[in-house]
Amino acid sequence: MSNHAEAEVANNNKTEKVFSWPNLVAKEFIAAILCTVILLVYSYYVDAPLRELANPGEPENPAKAPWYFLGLQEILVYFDPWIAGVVVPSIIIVGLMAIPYIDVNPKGNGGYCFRERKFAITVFLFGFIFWYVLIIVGTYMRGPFWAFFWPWETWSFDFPTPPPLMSLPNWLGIFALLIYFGLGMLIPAVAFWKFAKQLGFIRYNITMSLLLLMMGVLVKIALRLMFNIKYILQTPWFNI
Amino acid sequence: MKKKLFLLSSILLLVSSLLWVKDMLEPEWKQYQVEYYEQQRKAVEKKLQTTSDEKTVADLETKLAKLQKPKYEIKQILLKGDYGWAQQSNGQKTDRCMTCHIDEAKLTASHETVVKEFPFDIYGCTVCHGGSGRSLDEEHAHHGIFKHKRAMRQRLDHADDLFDMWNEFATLSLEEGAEWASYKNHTITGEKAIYMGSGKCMRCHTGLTAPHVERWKRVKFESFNVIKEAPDYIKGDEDYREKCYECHTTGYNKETGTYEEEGITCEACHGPGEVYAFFMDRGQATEGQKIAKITPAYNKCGGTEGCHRSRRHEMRVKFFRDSKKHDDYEWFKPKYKRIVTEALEEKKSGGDEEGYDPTAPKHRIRFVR
Amino acid sequence: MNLILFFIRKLTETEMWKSVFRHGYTDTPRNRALQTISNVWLHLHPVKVPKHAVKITYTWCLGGLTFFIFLFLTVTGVLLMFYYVPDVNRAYADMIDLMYVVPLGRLLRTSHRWAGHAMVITVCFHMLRVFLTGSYKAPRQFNWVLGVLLLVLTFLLSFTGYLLPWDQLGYWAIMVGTNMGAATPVMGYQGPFADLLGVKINNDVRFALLGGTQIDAPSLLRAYVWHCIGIPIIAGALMILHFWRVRKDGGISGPL
Repeated sequence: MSNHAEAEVANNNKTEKVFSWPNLVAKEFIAAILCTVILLVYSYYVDAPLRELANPGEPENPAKAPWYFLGLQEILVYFDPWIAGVVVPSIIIVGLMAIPYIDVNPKGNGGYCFRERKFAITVFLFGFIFWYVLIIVGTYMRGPFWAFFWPWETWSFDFPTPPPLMSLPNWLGIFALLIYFGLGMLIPAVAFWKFAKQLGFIRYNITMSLLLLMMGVLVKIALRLMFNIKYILQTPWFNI
Repeated sequence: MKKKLFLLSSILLLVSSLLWVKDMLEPEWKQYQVEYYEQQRKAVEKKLQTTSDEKTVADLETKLAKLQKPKYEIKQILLKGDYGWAQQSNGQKTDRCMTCHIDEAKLTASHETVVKEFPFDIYGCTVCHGGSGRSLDEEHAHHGIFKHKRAMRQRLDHADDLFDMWNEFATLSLEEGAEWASYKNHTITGEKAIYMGSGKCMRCHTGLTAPHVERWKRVKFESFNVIKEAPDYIKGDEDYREKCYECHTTGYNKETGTYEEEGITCEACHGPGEVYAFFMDRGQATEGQKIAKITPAYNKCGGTEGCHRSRRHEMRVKFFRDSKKHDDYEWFKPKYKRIVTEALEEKKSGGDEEGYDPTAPKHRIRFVR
Repeated sequence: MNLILFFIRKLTETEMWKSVFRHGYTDTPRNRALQTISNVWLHLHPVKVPKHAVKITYTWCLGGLTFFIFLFLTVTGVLLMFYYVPDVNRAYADMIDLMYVVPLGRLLRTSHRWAGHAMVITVCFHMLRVFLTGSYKAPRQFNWVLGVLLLVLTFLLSFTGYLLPWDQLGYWAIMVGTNMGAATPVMGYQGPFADLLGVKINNDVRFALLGGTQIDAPSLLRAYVWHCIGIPIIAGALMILHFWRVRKDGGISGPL
């Protein structure tokens, strides 16, 4: 990133300070005014949505959650509700909170700087974009019965029946999970030994399991889309 | 730079605020009212130029003064009835249609057939026209609207659509204990349902339910032909005859004194057949059935409203008493009964049935035992 | 001109004026400092900030905008509360009246709605900005945690507000959301291990959220109370902490 050099320059004269009034306050004020202007003008031309009176007898089809939760609703296609609706958001929240404690790299504080923290920024940006891609798919490409439509297609109830789904046999499922998580933990530790050592045992494990869980969602989506896999593991209590 | 930006954003803020102030002061509905009052004002001015009568001039001038300073405001009708989520409605029922559709004279004229029975200020607009009476912009207010009679008739997919409307009429009505049954004679446009005439019914029902149809066809259908020959009817003027029409015709209208069909035909008891015929013509027999099941107003026969009340024929007494030609008691002993007695007597005496009554009246009534 | 200046000087010298405005407006370093210190709203800021921090391309003003939108939402929200009643029998009618009959009601409702969405967006991008500038690093770790909590609260604020119009959109959106809650492991009646605690439809998380087994009057009231009182208070408290920690953890992030 080009700002990297700037960050270093700033590093050199970090003591240089300016008065908040008016340097900071003026900008804040202008930002607030412009924000208000945008809200006023946008509200003038676009009315807030208001559909018919709530009617429990007539379900909306598709019934969509608010847009910021559509990523989760989109995952609902690939996972059972307890994973998509509860476990995934919980892990996201806990994972986000854990970030400052597992990222021990002291560099890149106080400036946009990619070179010194490639791993952290790549992973975070990936997750951030992943989240919004899911939201965009859920918002614009899901029609009645949550069937997939391209944005330029009109929604209809006449869509091809999705192919039948199958589940992996449990032995294969357990095996696949063990391989995925086992190798996922081991290979980076060997390949990037320096990085792993820098993190320490506990931090490394937390970081990698969070990363593997995030990629796991992607892997499951890929499995479903390519091989019509419904469950990887089935137990009497829950399915994954 | 910063100062310019500040100035620019402040101007933008001012402009966007003014946008909203304008929206508040000049709502969409106001233009209709402006147009209306302008029109009215011009009409009054024109009238003022042509009249010279002092009193009317003074009247017109006060009117003009009012119209020159019109008060633009939201107009609404608060309607009666329950509201609640359970009834799939929210908030007291309110029709604000006349905020834009402000010309009441024009509305009254175009609603000639219904306005008397369903005055705007009691029944509102949406009961027949649909749409959202609460809203004040065209798009929302006209959402799901039935603009004209054609659209209203198209709305009639099931008998229940009509029943729901009758129910709503009953809810809106100011009369205590109004029931949906009181609106049974109204079709989906709110107008009185049309009498289709027994010919229409007979197209299918001859042969169906034969004993009932045949019997009524022979007796009550002919009842008007009977009274046509009654001496008092022939002598009587239209006022006198109207009393006869009341019972001996189908679809008698008290106000105009007109009737739809002579004789007591199908629709006299079963009610006007417009909606029923509509469904039957479309092949929706089950929907027609629903209508048929609820329309017969059998209280028509007796009670306080019906025909079969005691002493209905007392008005005839005077005619027969005064008349020298007729039997005093013929007023309660209708002629056909005389014929039957005569016929029976003839039969007893061994007379031939074929040529039994050369002087028989033109009607074809045969008494069926 | 001189006369005007004279009057201004006279006015600013009165006791009353001085009791309100404690310092002059002449551009001196002292007055610039006082402007921040002696103003209860502005003293959120330090008197001086690092030069790199005031560059718009550093913060994009996202945190400040989020807070501003929160205030905007508070003002419009309070005004909306004058007109809106969380009653299933009239909520929807109140919405239509707000749109068409209440003066500037359409402004209140529409801008409140869009501002709610805008706040979700700015809060997300504020997080992205903070991450990309590495501003969560020591000693600011805890403030990042507070930020994540505020992010969650923002989602919840917006989500609870979604039901209030009592229209099909909100009703079924909340249905989708709370049905996911029903699938919570152990605590939701449709989730795995529900029988462990004997959780049924009438005593699980979803029941607690909705105040019943289906979305009805209690759900609307709950959404209203959480939206207007519960979550704003919690979020407000966390915001105080968040801003306090920005100052206490070394001011706005900068190169160490």
